Amino acid sequence: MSTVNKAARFPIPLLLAGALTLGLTAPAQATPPDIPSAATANSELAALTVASEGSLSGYSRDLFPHWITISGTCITRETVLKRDGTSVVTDSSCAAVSGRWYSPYDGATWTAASDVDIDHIVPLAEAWRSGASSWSTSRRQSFANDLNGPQLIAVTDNVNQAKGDQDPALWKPPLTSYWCTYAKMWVHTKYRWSLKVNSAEKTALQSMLGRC
Amino acid sequence: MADYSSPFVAGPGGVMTDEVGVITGALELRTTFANGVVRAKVRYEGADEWYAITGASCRLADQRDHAAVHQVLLGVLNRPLG
Repeated sequence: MSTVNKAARFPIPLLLAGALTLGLTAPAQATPPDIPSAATANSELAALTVASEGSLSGYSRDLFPHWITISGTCITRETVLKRDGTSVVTDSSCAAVSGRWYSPYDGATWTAASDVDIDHIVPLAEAWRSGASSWSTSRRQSFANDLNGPQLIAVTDNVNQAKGDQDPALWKPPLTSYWCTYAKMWVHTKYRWSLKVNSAEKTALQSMLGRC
Repeated sequence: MADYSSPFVAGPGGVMTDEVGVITGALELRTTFANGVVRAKVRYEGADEWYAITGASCRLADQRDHAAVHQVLLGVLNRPLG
């Protein structure tokens, strides 16, 4: 997997300003907030309702308005890029023009924001079939832009594409060393939003939490 | 006829799409023919959005081959028993 040094195309003074402001030596590590302990995640998983998945009839991503304005000119995607990257420099419209992003799913590091996706840990379609079909659009918008819990994370775009709508029974991050953290984030999101799990998903999560 | 549509169930690993990555479960395949080109799209059964299957378009020498292309794609994609 190759990295693209997009930063090289931008003027030096801009780069220096970013380096001075944010520092270049901080560890490159994505850190969504509110990741619970393994013990908490295990008890939250036990509290979730187990049910088979609902239909996707009527589903559309438009029913989960995402990438809304968070602050100033910054939308949700840009806010997570700034949070999860290091030495991130943004322009006046909040687009990340340089920075480094470490994807904990696969261990790759990127220097162009275009190589990085913001993953919904619990995918929108998966949320729909585990309870969000009955929510208001406003609640779905809050879910799709949830910066308060461990629901959004900057990762390699191809890996996010390969995950798609799949739950942990069907897809897990390539790095097994991240399975514990991934399961804690998944469980806590489902718990916070009162979403259901299916039995295969619950078994997979229990197994992943067993690695913690 | 310019459109063919068929329900199917994706096998393990789902179907890769341009817009949303992998999608799984009960889906629908739609192929459209326009300007000499067949394009294949999928959606969740009964859902509102179609997504392009990654890489699934080609030029046909004869529009009459559209039905056969649709049938072959359906045969490859449909895995109701996993």
